Amino acid sequence: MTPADVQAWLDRYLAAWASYDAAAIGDLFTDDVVYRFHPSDDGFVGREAVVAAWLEPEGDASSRDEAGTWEARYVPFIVAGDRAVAVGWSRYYVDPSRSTVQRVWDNAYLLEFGPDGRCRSFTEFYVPRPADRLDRQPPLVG
Amino acid sequence: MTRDDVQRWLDAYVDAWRTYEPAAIAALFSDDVRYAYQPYRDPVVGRDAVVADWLESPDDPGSWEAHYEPYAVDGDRAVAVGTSRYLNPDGTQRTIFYNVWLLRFEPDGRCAEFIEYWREPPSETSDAG
Repeated sequence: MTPADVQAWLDRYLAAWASYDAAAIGDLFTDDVVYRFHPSDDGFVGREAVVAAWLEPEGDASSRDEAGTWEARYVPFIVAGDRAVAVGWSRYYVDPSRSTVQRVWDNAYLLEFGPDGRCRSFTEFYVPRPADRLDRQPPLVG
Repeated sequence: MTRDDVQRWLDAYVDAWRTYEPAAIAALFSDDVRYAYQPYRDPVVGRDAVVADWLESPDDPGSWEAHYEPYAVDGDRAVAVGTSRYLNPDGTQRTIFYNVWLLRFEPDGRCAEFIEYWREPPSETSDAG
């Protein structure tokens, strides 16, 4: 993988998140992907399980992130062989007018890719930003 | 940096944390290091400031265990992952932190940029997402 490959994958990841299109989500991952929302999780194993977890968070489709109420930016910090680490932020607003930020997460994604460029291991570290730092621009990511 | 170089640096970091010997802490970092405890926090800037910051509220030896290893290394950059466990006096685990460190090194192997992402497991906090 090159940094451009990883950036393209991250862009498709965000597009899939925005669309909640099952095929677009599934296309990101290998058949046998292990996907952890937190490093201590056992993780979801297999593409179908990941797609289901995205489409019905905690078993409930109404828990999806509402279109227009969030934005996110991720860039590769390092790419080494089949591994990469992406960093960035996800920002949630109280409503689609995007006038008031509700909360911000600073995230790092540990990524491992298969030969076809699909992700076979995804581990997310998300750090909640304190209320008095919601406007801060973190380093590395504009 | 090779993977072995990074592992040696990480082991030296944990050793310095254990001893709190100023020279051992200082040897890890470049003169103008930028050291951030969380991605959203302003970094501590400069080797002397980092040493002073470490010495300000030291962890008691025996009250914690930590292990870090490189996840990826490329040129002057590396990412390390690991855990820091804090222990009760009877040796049971009080809490555990899962960490990612984004690292950039100078040609002499000292760290010039350190950005830590750390958190407790979600079950120990009230957040989700």
